[in-house]
Amino acid sequence: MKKDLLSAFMLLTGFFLTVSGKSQLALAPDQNPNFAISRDKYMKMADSLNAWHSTTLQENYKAIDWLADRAEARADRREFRRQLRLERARWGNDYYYDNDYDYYPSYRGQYYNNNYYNNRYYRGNRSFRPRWGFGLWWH
Amino acid sequence: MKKNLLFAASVTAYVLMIACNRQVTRIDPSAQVDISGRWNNTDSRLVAEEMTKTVLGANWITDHMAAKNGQRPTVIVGFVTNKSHEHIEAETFVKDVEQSFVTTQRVRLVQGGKKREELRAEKADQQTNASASSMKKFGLEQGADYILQGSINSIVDSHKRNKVTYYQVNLELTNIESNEVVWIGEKKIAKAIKN
Repeated sequence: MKKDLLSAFMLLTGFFLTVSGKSQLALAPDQNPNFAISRDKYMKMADSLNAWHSTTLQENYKAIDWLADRAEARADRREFRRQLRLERARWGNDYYYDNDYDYYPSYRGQYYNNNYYNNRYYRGNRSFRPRWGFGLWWH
Repeated sequence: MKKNLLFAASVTAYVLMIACNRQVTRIDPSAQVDISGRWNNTDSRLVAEEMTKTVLGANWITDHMAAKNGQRPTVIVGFVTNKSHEHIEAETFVKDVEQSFVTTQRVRLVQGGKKREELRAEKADQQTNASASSMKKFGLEQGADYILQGSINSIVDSHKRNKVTYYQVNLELTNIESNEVVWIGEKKIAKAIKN
């Protein structure tokens, strides 16, 4: 039994020595003996990198161009006005222009139409609200 | 009411007139038509002509054949990086270079990227679906000797309505084993644009 184990161990050792010896022999003339480190590193990423072969990577920059900048600024202004129009259509003009706008219009004349809210002091404060903006000033 | 109807009719007539005014004419792809001043088919064609002319006339082919017992070099196409200020698709001129490799038969070309993936997938499919005699084997692909890579750069100089745009397109062939660059092709294009 011991003899069998010993012979098996020797055979295995011989096999590994042969394999490693062959891999040493496989080195091309002047090849770096540490090539396997780099090979193993790039074997892992080869698929993801090579999938994009034959394509154009777009790494564009924005050139300084007076006309193009002017056109872009104009497009921005148009887009802003369009958004403003959409917001107005959604919320109504009162939201932007009416100083006496109430969030709950149905309450107007019920809860607020009393001496406390209609007095000079309170209405005076409300009149300081700005006329333009996105309507975040009611409190 | 009558006024409104008249207005609507005139607007409709105007729209129809504009719609009917569109004209499409087929033109010669090699004709030079510059509209916006940006990169166009003429630029792509000029690059393709320059690259195909120089890549096949350079010494790298004969050097390779001398070193490899007369074997033709095999090329794969890698990335082209567009670092200009415009969207430019390099495939329009790289394909012309590839075509020149194939038609002249001086250089062998192998497929890369997504197309290669597709080929391997097809081969994998054949392993279970094709007849044994027609089934294509894995591991017999032709390995490339050189990789074709490139870059597109630009410089823009503009003041008010005047602009000068300069493009520089470079394609280069590199030996995959040694990383040695064996050929660099270059095409410079400068355009003066007045708006």
